Formats: sequence, structure tokens, C-alpha cells
Amino acid sequence: MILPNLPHGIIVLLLFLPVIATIANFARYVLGIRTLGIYPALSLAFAFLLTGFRYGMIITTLVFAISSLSYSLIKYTRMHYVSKITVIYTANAIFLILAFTLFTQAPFFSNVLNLDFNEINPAGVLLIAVLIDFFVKQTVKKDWFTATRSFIETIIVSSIGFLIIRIPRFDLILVKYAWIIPLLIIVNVIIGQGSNLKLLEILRFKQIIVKPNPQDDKSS
Amino acid sequence: MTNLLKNLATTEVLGINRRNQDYLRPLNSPSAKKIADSKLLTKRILRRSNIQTPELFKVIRTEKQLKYVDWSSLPKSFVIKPNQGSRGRGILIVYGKKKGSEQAWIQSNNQIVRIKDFESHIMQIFEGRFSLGSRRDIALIEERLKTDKLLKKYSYKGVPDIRIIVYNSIPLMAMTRLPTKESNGKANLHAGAICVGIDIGSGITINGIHLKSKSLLSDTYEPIEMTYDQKINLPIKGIEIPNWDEILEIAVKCQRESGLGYAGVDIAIDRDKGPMVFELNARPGLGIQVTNNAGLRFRLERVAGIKVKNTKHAVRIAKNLFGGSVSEEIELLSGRQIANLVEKITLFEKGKYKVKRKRKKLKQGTLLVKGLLDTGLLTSRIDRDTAAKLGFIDAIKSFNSYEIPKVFNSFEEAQAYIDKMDNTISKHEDIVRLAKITEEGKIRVRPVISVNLLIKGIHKNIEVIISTRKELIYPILIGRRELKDFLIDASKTFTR
Repeated sequence: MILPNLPHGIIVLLLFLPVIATIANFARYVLGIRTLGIYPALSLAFAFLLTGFRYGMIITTLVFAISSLSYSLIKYTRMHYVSKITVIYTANAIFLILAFTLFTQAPFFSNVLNLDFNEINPAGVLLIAVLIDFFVKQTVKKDWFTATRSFIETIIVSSIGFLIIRIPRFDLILVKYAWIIPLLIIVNVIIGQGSNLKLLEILRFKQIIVKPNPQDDKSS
Repeated sequence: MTNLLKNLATTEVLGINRRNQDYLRPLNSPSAKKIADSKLLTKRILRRSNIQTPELFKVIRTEKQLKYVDWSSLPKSFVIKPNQGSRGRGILIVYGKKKGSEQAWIQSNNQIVRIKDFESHIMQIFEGRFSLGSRRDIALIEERLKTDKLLKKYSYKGVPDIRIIVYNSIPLMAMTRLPTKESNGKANLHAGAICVGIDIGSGITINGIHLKSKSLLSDTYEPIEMTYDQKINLPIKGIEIPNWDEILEIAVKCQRESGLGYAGVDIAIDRDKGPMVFELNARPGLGIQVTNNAGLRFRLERVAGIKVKNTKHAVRIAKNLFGGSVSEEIELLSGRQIANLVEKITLFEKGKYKVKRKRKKLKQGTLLVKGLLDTGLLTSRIDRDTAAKLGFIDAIKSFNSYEIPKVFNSFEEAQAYIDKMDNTISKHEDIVRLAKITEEGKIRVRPVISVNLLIKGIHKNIEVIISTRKELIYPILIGRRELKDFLIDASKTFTR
């Protein structure tokens, strides 16, 4: 129930926030899907909401490809870290403009694939672009493969979040039953206190779990 | 799959969630983590306790200091590393100066590096490119360790390190990481190094693993038997890590000094100086479980609450509780059990051979003693008082009732006496035969009885000579005839 004069859109977005965050939390601690972090997952889910899933995925793929390529090109160049990030942002801006130009001007994209980038909300593009920083940081901290894995995991979690919040009348249900939101605190507390093996850890340690170590059966 | 689900409930494997919730958060205080995360602080703390760490040549904190570094004053070979670096990132190893040049050095991949390269690398360190949480950092220049001769055969260029997990002052699990050509000399599993589990008890390497592939779900490891990109490839199982006890003691001391409740201690063995700690880890990874094919959770729970008196005590506990992987493998291959030099033996009173094996408490009619497994004897011996306790008092009295010479001049003489009297004396139901033995340097004739005993879980009916030797430390000595089922480990003197 929303009181008169309360901005409905903002309230709904604020209600979506804990839902997607809970999905990201569950994915991390129960399934073992790390993602690039909770902020990138939230950002991407809302970006999909603003751009639509199809356009969002196209832009995300472009951002990933441009960032990977530009980072691999400047990886061994002697320059400061922040300068490198700035170069990658700039490369993304240039190539996204070029890509949008191509998509809008080439008849194949507009006629055959039926793409119209005028439909999308510019804020969504910005929300996707901020992922560059997280992706490159992960690449620098670990390696390209690990960063790519986290990036894909982020897309998966965000997509699930997006699909849930796009369930017909989900926003109305959330507004009507807003007491669900405090319940999410309990869910997150339970997840946060869990100390069980994550789903992916079960796969990782499968050989030890299936075959208990006979040495450890000894007791003195 | 059914097995997996069945074992999941009772799994001994430690996952990240439990590690963080039950061990890292409550036991590793922020101040202890601060020490572990800073190589400089770690050095200071450990040196106070006379624990060896690589020698520090220079600490560069600012751009201004970097400008005034006198590179010519450094030794020919050195290492530049970030103070708060992790996973071996940002480490630049300099192997020596380029011939005929004062301003050019050679690094691990044989590339030439110059002062401007050092400066650029250190600037990246300052910016936190290699540091935990990308925080601004400082650069350390320290000595390059030289690989121990034994381990050099198994590693490519870099120094293999030994990771030991310590909790409650007790070493729980260990592994060594062998740098390969693929890992470009780095001792990092994800870079392509080989990880080999180490048996805590003996310091001998057991299972080796290697990163097979990185998949989107999880990384997969494959067992590996030999090094694969060395000039001469060698088996990685069965390497005896030098100075093992010392390494375990160092690991225990490091945990205590750092204040970490749950720690990963990284030690390298320098060719000249021996074991050296080069890093403490406040959040050690869990892959060590795969290399050891054993779960950490069981071991953590096993040692919780144990009061450790001192470092040596801690090492002894660890060896007794978690050692033995190598022994088990030998037992599997040879079909024999490994026994200690001194074993606990259950002796059964005469006529009370059968016991209910399921009952843990020894039933009445048994005697628990420590016995020496003496490969110098053919036939086992038992102390006279012990034999009497087992119900052979009549046999002893019967034997003593004969006027048997106390000493014989030769074995022939003793044998002649046995031939003459054996049938008479052995008429007693408990005396099996007579035997000639050397006791306290003298040749004597003694009665042989048949005793039932339990050793290492094996029931045996053995012939033992009743000995009257006064200085018999152990009430029973088990001779070669009964040791066919065992391999004796002389390094072990205490039973578990």
C-alpha cells in the first residue's frame, strides 16, 4: 500500500533492491557463485530493467569484449594503473559509439535484427559501463579467465534478478505485501550465518567427500 | 552420486563458509591479520623470536625515496616485492647482472631489466596494483633465496615453498608447491605449479596435483605422478622434505608470534641458511585438502581444546594424530602393517584366548603391556613374573624343580642336555619344549610356553621363552619368528 504523493517508481525500485541483493547473497554463499560483487550484480540487473534484456546483453557483451581487448593491448605498456583504467573507459566510449552508429545505420541490424537503440534508456548504458572498473580490477588482481568467470556469473545472477522482478505484477505484489522485505533480512541473516559447503565446493572436493580418508578414521 | 550425498552430511571437508565463520573471524584478530598482511611487520615480529626470514636490503616507501635508491649498492641477485602483495603477484626476481653491464640485470624469464623498469615496477607497487584490496603499498627489496639441492631437482627456477596450516599451535596439514616451466618459476597452483601433499608424520610427499582446466563451474585438478617440464622428470611422491621437524616447529612458533588463531605459514628452504619463513597467511586457501586427499574440518575439530605445552609437544601431537599417510601406503603395497619399535600388547591369561572383539574395554584375564619388537631375537621372550601373572606359575615351578645346570659351557652341551631332558620336563602341560639361549652373556636352558596375545589388532598364539633376566625393561620381547606380518619403523618409539 503506497500513500498518496509517494513516488511509486522510486518505492518499487527500492523494493527490488533487497530482492536482487538477496539473490546475489544466496548465489555467493549457498551456490558458490562469486560474481564481481553485489554492486555490479545490482547495477546490471537494473541496467537490464532500463534497457531491456536483449539490448542489455548486447551492450554488456560489447563492454566485455572491448574491455578485454583493450586491456590485453595495454597490459604490458608501462603506465599507471588508473591511467590504464581511463584508457579502457575511453576505448569503451569510442567503440560503443561506433557500434551504435553501425547498429543504427546498417540496414541489417535495423531491418533484419529489428534493433532500435533509440528505445533504450541511456542510464542503463552507463550502469553497464561501470562494470568495466570491476572487471579490469579483477583481471589485474587475478587473471583474465577468473575475471571472465566472475563477469559471466554476474550476468547470470543479474539475469535471474531481472527475470524475477519482471514477473508480471511482481512490483504490485511487493508493494502490497511489503512486509516480505523485512523477512528478507531474516533470510539473509540465515544465509550469512551458514557454514555449510557451497554447491560448487561440493564439486570441487568431490573426491574427498566420496572417498573418506581412512587415515582420519583413526582415533587415538 | 548417492555416495556423494550420503557422505555430505558427515563430510570432513572444510568449506569457505565454515572457515570464515568458525575460524577466521573469531580467531584471526584485525591486529594479527595486519601483521600477516604486511611482509615488513611479519619480518619484525618473527625476527624477535629468532625465526629466520629473507634478509631485507631496502624499504622504499615514497617516490622521493625511489629517486635516490642506489641500485649499485645491492647484491647481484635480489627480489623486489610489494609489502602487502598476495598470490605471489608483483614479485620481480633478479638473478644477476648482465655481463659487462652495471646498469642491466637479468630477471626470471631471461629478460633484461634496467633501473627504469625497476622504478616503473615499484611505482605500480605504490599504486597498489598487486596489493590486497588494491591499497597503496610500499616496496621491499630482499635477498633471493637459493633452492635447496634436493628440491631443485623438482622445480623450475623458482624456490618451492612449503605451506603448513596451523591451528591451536598444532600443525594440521602441509603441502609443497613446485614451480614449473608453465608457471614461469612461480610456486602458484593456478599459474601451473605442482602441489604435493606432505605427510605430517614423516615429511614425505604423498599425492601430487596439477590444475587440469579452469571451467566456468569450478577448477578441476588432476593427480600427477611426476614433474612434467623439467630437463629430467622425476616422481614427486616420496620426496623427503629436509629439516622436517624444524619446519613444523617454525610453523608453530610463527602462529604463536603472529597471534593468528588459524594460520597458513609459508616456508622455503634456503640452500645455505635452511628453513626461512617468507610469508604468513591469515586466509589460507582450502586446496591443500585436495593435495592431501583429506579434510581439514576433521583435523580442526580433533585438536580443538588440546593444551599444548611447548613447540616440541605440538609437533609430537601433530605427528601422532595426523601422520601416517606414508605408512598406510607402504602397508598397502607390502601387505604388512607398520609397527613401532615398542608396541602395546595385550597378553591373555592361560586358557582365556577368546575375547569379544567389539568390546572396547579389555575384559578380565588380560594384561596390557609394552613390548619391544626385537629383530635381534629369533624366539620371543617373556619376563618370568609376567608369565606367572598369566597363569604359568606351575610351569615355572615345575621347571625349577629339576636340577638344571645354571650355565652351560657351549651350545652343544646345552643341546645335549635338552635332548636328554626335553621329554621329561616337557611333560608339564604348559611347557612346550626347552630352548637354549644366551642370557646375560651366559648359555642357559629355559622353558618355552605358548602364549596368546593381541598385537596391532592381530591375534597370535606364539611360543615364548621364559626369561629370568633381571634388567629386562619390557615384560615381553617379540622375536623375528612373529614379526613376519610387520614392517618395523625404528623412528617411532611411542604407541598411539
